[in-house]
Amino acid sequence: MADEESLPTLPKTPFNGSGSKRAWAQANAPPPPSVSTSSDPAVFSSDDDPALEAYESARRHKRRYLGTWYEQHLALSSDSAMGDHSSSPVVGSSPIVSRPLRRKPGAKPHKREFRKLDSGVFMGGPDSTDTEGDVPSPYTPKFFASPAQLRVSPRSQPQLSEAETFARERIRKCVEIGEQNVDLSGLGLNSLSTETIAPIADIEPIPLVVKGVSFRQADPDIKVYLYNNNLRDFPLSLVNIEPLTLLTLRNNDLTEIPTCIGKLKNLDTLNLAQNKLRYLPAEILRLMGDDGKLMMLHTVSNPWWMAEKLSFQAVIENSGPNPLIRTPVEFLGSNGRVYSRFRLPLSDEDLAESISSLELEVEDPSELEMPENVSYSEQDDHSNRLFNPKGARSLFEYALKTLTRLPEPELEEVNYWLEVDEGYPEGVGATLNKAAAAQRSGGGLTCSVCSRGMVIPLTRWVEFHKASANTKLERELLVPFLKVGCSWKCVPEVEQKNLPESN
Amino acid sequence: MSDSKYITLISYDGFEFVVLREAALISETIRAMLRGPFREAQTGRCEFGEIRGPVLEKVVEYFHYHHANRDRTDVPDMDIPVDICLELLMAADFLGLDSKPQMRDIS
Repeated sequence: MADEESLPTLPKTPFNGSGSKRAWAQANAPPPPSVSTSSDPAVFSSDDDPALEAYESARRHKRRYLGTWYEQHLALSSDSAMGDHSSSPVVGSSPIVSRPLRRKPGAKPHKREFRKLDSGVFMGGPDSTDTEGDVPSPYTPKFFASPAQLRVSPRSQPQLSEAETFARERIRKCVEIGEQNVDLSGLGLNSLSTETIAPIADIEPIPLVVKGVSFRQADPDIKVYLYNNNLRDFPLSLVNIEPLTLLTLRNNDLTEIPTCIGKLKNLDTLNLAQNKLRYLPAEILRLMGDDGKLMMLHTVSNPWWMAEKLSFQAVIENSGPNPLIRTPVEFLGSNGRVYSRFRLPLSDEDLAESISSLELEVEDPSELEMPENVSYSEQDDHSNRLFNPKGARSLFEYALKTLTRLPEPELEEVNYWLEVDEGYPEGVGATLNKAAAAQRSGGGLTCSVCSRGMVIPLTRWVEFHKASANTKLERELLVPFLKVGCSWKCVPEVEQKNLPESN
Repeated sequence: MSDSKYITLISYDGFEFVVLREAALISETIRAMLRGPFREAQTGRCEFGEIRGPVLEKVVEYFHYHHANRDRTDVPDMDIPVDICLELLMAADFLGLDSKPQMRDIS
């Protein structure tokens, strides 16, 4: 083997005695590397090639790892890359080792040796083409091909920003000394990862020991200050800090508050002022009610949805404690199609597209407009999930829910299928994306009416509520809260529910 | 017309499932098959040329699961294997087991 290195660059003639195989290799391979004499692709290309026996006698050193190749055939086959041409057995060892790790389950010790000797094994046969990364062929969805493949996700850890490293250090100190006021303000944070935030939950107050006073373990009362940062997404793991009583996110770039904020039952003060929020989840209303302890909610200086359309008059008239102003209800099907006349202009496109031209539509709280042209029979009451919040969910929803729990790479693949294959119901891809986003941002949605978990909202509407009593600006009195329902019967309470008549 | 309490669902690869008629009637498609002037209504046998056995099995499981839980409010989630998820989505759509209203004909 060693003497191969000193050999002159290989032949000017296309054939050198090993017959048609070399001809094939040269015809197919990208520019043949000069040193790859012994990793002639054809050698390893196909195990059912009759030329295999000839190969055995011709090249002594290859016999050794013939067995290995069979053994690992499955594991390797999908990973081949044409780039492997370039590594010859002689100069091969170092470049191969330094190559980034491939995703390969169960690497065995002897494989390394095998790789060192020859990398031609990755080449695939004359009939095989490497399509990884290309369009997958229909009817062989890769994502459930093998459980082993699913487990490997070749994802690199994102680099920690300087600000976050600093924050992490600060949190570590707080945990160490039992400091309950976690001040992470003004650090220029763009994002906060779970790893950074999770230790906050471990903060335990150090009890004050004073002579004459009986020792008492104080309940933790954690306050997190995140004002004056550049957070674009709500740090989701904050909701796992159960004893959190104060959270200030003033002056960040938040655009949405996740529904899982409802888990912070001990929250007393929440400052969301000076962000880019359009609306708040109905869960915050619940925290302000019997469900939580939220007393102070600061919401000033956010570009609230339709804020400028709310007439001053309406605000004054509806200053009572009850639900005040609400939009009509948007009724959707499980494919995301809107069936009602009213469409809630809440999507990004709607908001971007000339906000000033949108009209705020308000419905009389005692009325409820139902979709027209929808047939409805008594039987639907029991069988159709749409009209029946009780009982099991629809099969469609269960299947969708299972899909939302897939890790992201597989989810992307599923999405691809939904898009490509025309057999799937229309709009299901978009619905899945929305549901998956909700799932990621803290465990899915909850019905604002019956509190049941759900995958996709079937009704949506916005209610304007008084969010803070102590603001000085009258305009800021009312904040839009998005409410969602899990069936067409989960709608705002009205005096009489006029569902579509039976026919 | 077949008046049996049970009906038979047949997958395209020939698996037959005997289901409580009442439970299967939550599917709009099956309801239409059994009510209409179709052969299915006479024999009580519905063939599905597009649904594989394992998928139809899950559908049948869902029928009974739905039937058993129809009046409960806290229903445990049904477990669905990931590998038949996409096929189930299609089957659910085909059988009308999603939350979609029937549109009334406007004439």
